[in-house]
Amino acid sequence: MKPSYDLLTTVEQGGCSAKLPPNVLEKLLQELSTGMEKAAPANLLVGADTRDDAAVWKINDDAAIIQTTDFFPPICSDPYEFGQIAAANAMSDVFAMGGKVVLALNLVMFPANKMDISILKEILRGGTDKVEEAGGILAGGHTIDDFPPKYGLAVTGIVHPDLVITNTRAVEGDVLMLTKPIGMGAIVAGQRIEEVSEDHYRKALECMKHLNREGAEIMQKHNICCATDVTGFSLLGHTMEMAEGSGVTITITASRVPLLEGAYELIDMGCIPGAAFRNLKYVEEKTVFKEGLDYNFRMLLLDAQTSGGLLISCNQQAAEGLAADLKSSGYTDTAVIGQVSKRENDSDPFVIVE
Amino acid sequence: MNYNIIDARGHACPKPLIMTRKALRDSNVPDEFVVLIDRENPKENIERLLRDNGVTYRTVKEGNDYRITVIKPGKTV
Repeated sequence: MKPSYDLLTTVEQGGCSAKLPPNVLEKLLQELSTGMEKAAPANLLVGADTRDDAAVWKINDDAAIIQTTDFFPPICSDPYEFGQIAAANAMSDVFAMGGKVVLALNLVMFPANKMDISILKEILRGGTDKVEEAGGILAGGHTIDDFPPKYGLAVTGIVHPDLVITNTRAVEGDVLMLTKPIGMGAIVAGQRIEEVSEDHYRKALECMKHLNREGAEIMQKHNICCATDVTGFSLLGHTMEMAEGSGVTITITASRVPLLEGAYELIDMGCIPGAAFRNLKYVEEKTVFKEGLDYNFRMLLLDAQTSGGLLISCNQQAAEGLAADLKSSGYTDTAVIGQVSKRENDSDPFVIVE
Repeated sequence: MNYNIIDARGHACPKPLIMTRKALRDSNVPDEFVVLIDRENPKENIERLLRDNGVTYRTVKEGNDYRITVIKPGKTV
C-alpha cells in the first residue's frame, strides 16, 4: 500500500549512506585529540579512541551509563516506518554493548513550511512505538527546521560495568557470527529507482525494524565480551574496527554471509550505492580480498547497513549454543561468517575476505 | 539508437553505474564505448568499478562533463 507521502522523494542518499567518509572523519578526530583520552578518568570505560559503538561511563560498582546518538534522512517511503527504523538504529549501539535502553530524546529536523506537519507526527509515532518496544522511555527532544527531514535519537542505556561488551576483545580461535543479513543499502537504493520487488523491499524494512534488544540479552546470557553492530561503515568496516581494536586478523568467508533477498541481483546490476565505494577506501589498505573473490560479494560486504545485525566474536565452544538461542529468538539468519586468527606481523592485513 | 554513447548525465546515483555495467554486458554496445557523466562522485565510482574489474578506460574532461572511453574486456564484468 503506497503511503500518502513518499519520503524517499526528498533524498538522493539516506540512512547510514549519509555518513561522512570514515577515513576523513578519523583523521579529523585524531587531529582534535588533545590527549584527553590518554588522561581519561578511570570512570570512562569506553571513549572515542576505540571507535566503539557508544560512550560508557561508570557510575558505581553496579552501573555504567551508555550514551549514543544517531540520526539521518529518510531511507524508506512511509513516515511511520522511517521513525521506527531510525529509532531502532539509534538504540542499536546500546544493545551492541550489552546494555538496556533507559531514556531516549528525539532529534528532529523537519521543513515545517514545505511538508505537512502530519508527516512529522507519523515519524515521531514510529519512533515512540519503537522506543517503547525497546523497553525505554521517550522523554523529550529537539526540533529544528531543515530540509530534507532527518530523524533519530539521543539514547541513554545502562549496563553492569563488568559486563560491558566492546569491540576490542576478539581473540585468536574465536568465530565471527552475524545476526542479520546484509544488503540494506542496495535494497534502499534499488527501491528509489524502482528496481526492487515489493516482497524484497518489505523484508528489508522488517529486518531494519528488528531490534537488537534480545540479541543483547542473549549475548549476556552467553558471557560474550566482544561485539559490535553493523551499520554505515558496512560489514567490512565494522569488522576492520574490531580487528584493529583487538589486534587480530579476521577472515570472512563471503559465501557464508547472509544476504537480504534481492540484494545480490541489485549489486550485479550495478545498483551499488556510493557509500560502498567510500567504505572501500576506508578498509582497503588494511584488507586483503583473495584472488577470485566475486566482485559482487566484495561490494555487498562494503554495502552500508542501517540498523544492521550484531557482529559477535565468540569462542568455538560457545558458538553453537549462542547461534541456537539467537535463531530461536527470531534472528533466523544468524550465521557464522568467519574466524579470528593471530596477527603475526605489522604488515599483515587486519581483514581477509575469501 | 546510438549504442556508442551512454549519457549518464543528470541521472541520480547509482543509475550511472547501472548504465555502465549494462553497457559492458550488452552485445549491441560496441567494444569501445563512451560514458558521459557530469559529477565527480559517480565518475570516480564508475572508474573504480572498471579498475577493480580489469577494464581499460580513459577519462577526459570536457567542459563541466567527463567523457570516459571504455574498452570492453573479453569477459563478463
